[in-house]
Amino acid sequence: MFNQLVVSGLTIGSIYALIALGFSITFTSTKILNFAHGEMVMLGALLGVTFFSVLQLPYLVAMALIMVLVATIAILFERLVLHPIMSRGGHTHNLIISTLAAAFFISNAAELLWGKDDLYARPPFGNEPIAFLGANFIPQSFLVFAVTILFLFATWFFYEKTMMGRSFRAVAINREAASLMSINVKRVMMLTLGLSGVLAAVSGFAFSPITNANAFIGMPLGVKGFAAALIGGLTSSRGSVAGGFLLGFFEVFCSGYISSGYKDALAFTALLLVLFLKPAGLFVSSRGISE
Amino acid sequence: MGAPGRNKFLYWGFMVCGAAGAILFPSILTNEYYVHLANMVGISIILTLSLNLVFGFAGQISVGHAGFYAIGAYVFSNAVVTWGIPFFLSVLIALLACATVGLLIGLPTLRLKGFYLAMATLAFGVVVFVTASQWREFTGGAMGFLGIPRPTVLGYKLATERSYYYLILFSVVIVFWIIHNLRNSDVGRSMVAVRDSESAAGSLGINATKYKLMAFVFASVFAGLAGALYASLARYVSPNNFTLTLSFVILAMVILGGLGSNLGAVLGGMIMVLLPESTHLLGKFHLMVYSLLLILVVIFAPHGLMGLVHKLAPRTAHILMPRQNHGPAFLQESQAILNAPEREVRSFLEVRTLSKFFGGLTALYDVSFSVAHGSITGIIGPNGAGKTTLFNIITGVFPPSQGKVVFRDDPISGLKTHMISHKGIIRTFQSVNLFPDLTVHENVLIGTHRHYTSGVLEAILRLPSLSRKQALAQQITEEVLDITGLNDVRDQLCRNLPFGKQRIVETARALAARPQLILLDEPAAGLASWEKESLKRTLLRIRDLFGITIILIDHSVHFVTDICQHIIVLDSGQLIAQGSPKEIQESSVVQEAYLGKLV
Repeated sequence: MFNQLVVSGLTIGSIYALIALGFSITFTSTKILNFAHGEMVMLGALLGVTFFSVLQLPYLVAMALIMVLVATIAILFERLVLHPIMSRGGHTHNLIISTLAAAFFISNAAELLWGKDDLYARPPFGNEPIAFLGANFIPQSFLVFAVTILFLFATWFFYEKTMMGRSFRAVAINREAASLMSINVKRVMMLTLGLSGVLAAVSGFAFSPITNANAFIGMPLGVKGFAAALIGGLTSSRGSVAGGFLLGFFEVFCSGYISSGYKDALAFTALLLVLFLKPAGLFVSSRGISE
Repeated sequence: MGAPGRNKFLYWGFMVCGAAGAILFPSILTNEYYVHLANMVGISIILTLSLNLVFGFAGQISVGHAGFYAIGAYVFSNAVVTWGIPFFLSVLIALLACATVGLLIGLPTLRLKGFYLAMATLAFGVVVFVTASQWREFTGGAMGFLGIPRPTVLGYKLATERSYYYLILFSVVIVFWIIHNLRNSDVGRSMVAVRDSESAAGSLGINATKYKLMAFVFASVFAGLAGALYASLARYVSPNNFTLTLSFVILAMVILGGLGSNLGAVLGGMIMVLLPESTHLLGKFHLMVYSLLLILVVIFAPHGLMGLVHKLAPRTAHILMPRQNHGPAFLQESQAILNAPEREVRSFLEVRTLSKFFGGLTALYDVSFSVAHGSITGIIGPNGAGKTTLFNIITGVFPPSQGKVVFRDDPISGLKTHMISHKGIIRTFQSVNLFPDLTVHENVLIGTHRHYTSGVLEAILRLPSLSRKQALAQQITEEVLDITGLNDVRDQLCRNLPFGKQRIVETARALAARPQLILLDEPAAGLASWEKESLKRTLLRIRDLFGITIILIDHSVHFVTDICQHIIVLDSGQLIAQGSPKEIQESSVVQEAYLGKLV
């Protein structure tokens, strides 16, 4: 039981970590918490159903297509919605409301396109359980974990080791100074949204064979990833990733030992406690948090 | 009769027609379904009005409002069905439960701002929803809660929707009336002040936590009322009545109607029910339409439908929202407050060995001085000298690291901002800190908060004591507007004023607080030279007229030497010189700090 829970925790935790990372990079660069981020995850999952399970495209081709499509949607959202609001003063309330609205818009649109029902997402390596450490696991668990680690590493590499990534970080740290250094801040914001869209799409695509997919998984997954980011510390990408794994384990162990029905309620109660006691997040020092 | 009289006539005409329409409505329409819709509209209106109270007025976003709606519905249902408590007592219990939960959730949550607050309220909504689905003993789980009764009023059972309509109408009117009265009292003004600028509100003695919490608890209670009304109307509730989507739709409707407008909220509540009904085509798309509408409103018409009415038909807007008429002024009483006998004090203001460190940075070090009653003291010093830090410590924005501040023999360091302002110290800010969406008149009126705070009950019931207080506050406001020459812009929104005028409004607002000590942080910065001259005259006048002691910060040595008796010079956090203007002008230390050492 314990080993089983550890692996489940790692699987769910890695998904939350990827989603949380998307929130974190968007927030640090744009100061926006994108409530529609979860819907990008949902789109990743449903597009995966279409491209991989229905059209039977090769796994990597399907993944690449999904990444491009979702990133495009995220960029369009930035151009058509966030950008006009920011250039009109960008009141926080307006940004919260418009990202919420976008979330409901996308979810409703997906419902019309894909219907209300659960859709089967085909796992690329089948559903034959693998015995490991005295427990049985489906191969997808390991795939999810591997994909997550790969993309966490790629994101880290991009931000730390490439010139473009450095300019993204510069914008996150000080927008004005970055703009004086002739970094195109608007472009960075737009691309950051695109990048977070990629992360969301990948997590949705990788995760969907475990739970199947429907048009309504966006909000719960998004809110979870969001919670994970806040628990770990929204302003720190490492903190957010750690928060993702922490929340994954917390949830899996709660449903394992307490009750599976209440697992969402418990996760959010944990979030509320963190917000009340240490709003900057568990892994971030408390200074410098305002909005 | 001039235009105001006719407008008043039109306003009441509008109100009477609306009331008659609402009362006769069920008798005119024969279709039961329309009556049902009307009932749903009423419940939605209560929801939007309550969210508008906490979000529109107090500025605290809530993305989990359906949570309170659910708590009201389930607590009521249990009280009336499971525990067998009489109907209206059950409603009361539901309201109390919502107030309690609102208080417990609001207390920690309202410390958060912006996205964090949105997230916390959203999480609250989800927790309530999950609990409603899981806690079968209390909620019936996903199957729902059955067999909720209708009430009996004066021996008449409201069995039909047609009769129940009047209970809902009555509730809507009561809720509207309470929220309307709150908004038009200093309780509501304080909420708006907190929304627009917490720091400015605090500096005028407004306890931000108290007013945010009050708005939140009231909103929870009203949402709970809507829940109880709905439970009895539908006789059945299930978790699907209280989804995140509902919270979102309520939020959308408040914004669509016009954030901060009660009429807008009513409009939003109507649209919430009628829009999906009116076009069957919308059916599947209705969330998409809502979302798109919302995004368009946020981008192109952030003040919603009521904002459009204001823009396109200002006359209509004026009729729908007439200016408040304040009663006769009680000149003598206001004079009595001004001439209250001064308590004998040994020293007026004393700053003793004050230091402030931020991490490794020393902002102030070992600063001591005293200020005599009725004097004008100037504080000068180069940028980063610690002038504003000094003001921030005196007004309690942060506590000193060492030393203390004694005001009229009471140590005040360590008190909260709003407490210090109640002691009689009022400040202005270096960068203008007005309530931008309120008029000049309202800004100055909020300044009187320190003296005329009304209780909630007073405000809701419009007790005579309230109008007396309002009249006094009004009196002071008029005087201040006169003295500062702001009468000609009194009805303009502060955001539309030129910068110089905004500075004067801020000073006027501080004056309206009738402080004993006023701290002005660069009052002359950015003013034209003729404005500076008139500011000088105003400052001297208020000192002579009201005996208010003034401390002001300025960069310009000339401005300070012209009107101050005593000047304090700060440099790099230390007090390097103090004395009369003449002494300061001749001091070599000061010249060095300003001009650099002569080689």
